[in-house]
Amino acid sequence: MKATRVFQLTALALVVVAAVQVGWWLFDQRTNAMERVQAERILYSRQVGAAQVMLESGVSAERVRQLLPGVAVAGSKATLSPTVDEMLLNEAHRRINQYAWEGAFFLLALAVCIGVIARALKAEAKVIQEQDNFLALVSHQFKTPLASLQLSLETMALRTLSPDQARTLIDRMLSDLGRMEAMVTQILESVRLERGRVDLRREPLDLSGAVTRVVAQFEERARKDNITITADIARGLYVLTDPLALDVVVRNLLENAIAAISPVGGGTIAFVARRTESEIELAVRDSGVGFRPADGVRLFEKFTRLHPGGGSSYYGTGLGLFIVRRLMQLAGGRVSAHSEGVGQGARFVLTWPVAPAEPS
Amino acid sequence: MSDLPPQANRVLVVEDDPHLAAGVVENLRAEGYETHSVTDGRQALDWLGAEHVGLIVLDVMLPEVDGFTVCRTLRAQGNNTPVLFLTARGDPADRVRGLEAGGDDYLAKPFHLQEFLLRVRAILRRWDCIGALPPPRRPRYCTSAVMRWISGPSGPAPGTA
Repeated sequence: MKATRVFQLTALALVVVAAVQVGWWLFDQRTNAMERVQAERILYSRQVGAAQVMLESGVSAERVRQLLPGVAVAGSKATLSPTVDEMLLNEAHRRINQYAWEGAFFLLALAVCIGVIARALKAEAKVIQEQDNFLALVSHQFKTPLASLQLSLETMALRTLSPDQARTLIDRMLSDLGRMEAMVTQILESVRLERGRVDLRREPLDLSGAVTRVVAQFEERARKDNITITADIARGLYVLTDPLALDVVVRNLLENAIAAISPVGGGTIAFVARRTESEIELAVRDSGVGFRPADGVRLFEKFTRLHPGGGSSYYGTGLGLFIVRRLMQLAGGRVSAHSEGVGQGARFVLTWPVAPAEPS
Repeated sequence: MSDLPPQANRVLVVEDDPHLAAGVVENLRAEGYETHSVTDGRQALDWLGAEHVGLIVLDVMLPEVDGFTVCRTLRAQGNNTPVLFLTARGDPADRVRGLEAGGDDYLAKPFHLQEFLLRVRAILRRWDCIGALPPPRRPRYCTSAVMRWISGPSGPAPGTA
């Protein structure tokens, strides 16, 4: 990485020096062309002087014109022929013109090179910055449940606990382990999605069936958290996507909704689907903590975890919605988040293009 | 500022992770400390505007306002309550940043419970040295009280507010 950077910087420096040299060459050639015109003018003015002397010493005007074709004779006076003067100026302009075009072409080529190298350098700096941020965030995300695990274990080792207290600590530890496991899965998934190393199938899937399957898996947890989940999806709505990707998308949105409701002690989650002219829309509405409308876009960025007071999950990895967005993009669809504000609940809308050939 | 006595036995825990916050709070309570817990930097600053504690256990990566900013804000307000940073960011540069922000101690996650409790005790022990002294004129902060004790009862008033 470092060697490449040194190479890029050296190339950039060389190209900049070359551009300066071309600029200087251009200026030099222009001066040179003007100087040549000047020198030729001096030569011609000497010819005019000689012609004048010849005329004065009795040589005929005809003879003078023959000997010095660049000189015009009017009576007994010799002057520079206007055609020669024009020729000299034309020659100078022709040269300057040629240098200007050649120089401009070289300068343009060099400017493109500078642009390409500078862009590569900038892109590389951005990648390094992103990697640093990613590592910092990942380490933070892992260290927190690790610290909690260690704290629970050391508490058990240090203190005499009642069975209830021990049970609380064990539940806490199991939950921390679950968090770490979810994080590993999601980090791997998000890296895979980000690098584009995914091979998604595209097949028409019944939205109602997919949602019902996921909802069924969450029923017990929802009951425990005092959450009612409803799904109002007509049969026969098909979307063109990968079955696993659809499952992950719905699951992540459902987990997000449950996490948003947990801090308020219960509520409702409603899945509603509809078909517009060219799209299929699946909306997930929850009565949870909501978020500031301005955070609607930030939510889908990696490692965004809004505070329960103003957003979503306590325990989220900050990757769930990022994965949802990426999977939707890969399926040719999109996702958006809406909330009237903190405490107002939230609505996530998934949109797919209508499957061209829906099975009957 | 009010004339509330120093709350040497009281600890504010600022931690956004509920498990960790609960674990820390339970252990501090088991050691006999009175605790209060908040989950973001803004809440911490608001709460400290009206309350006094002997120690703040402060996470760095917090929602709303981060821990370093909370500490710097407190110091700028003249609040010298000891701060123990408890954070996943444990490299030397972060420790230096934390101490520069006005922190008194720094513990990287994951940490050892006993080490944490001993550090808390060490920081709060400073309050004990004030217990035997006549009440200082401005009794709010331990450091100013210690300064007064060092410079004697008729010594110049220290610059801390």
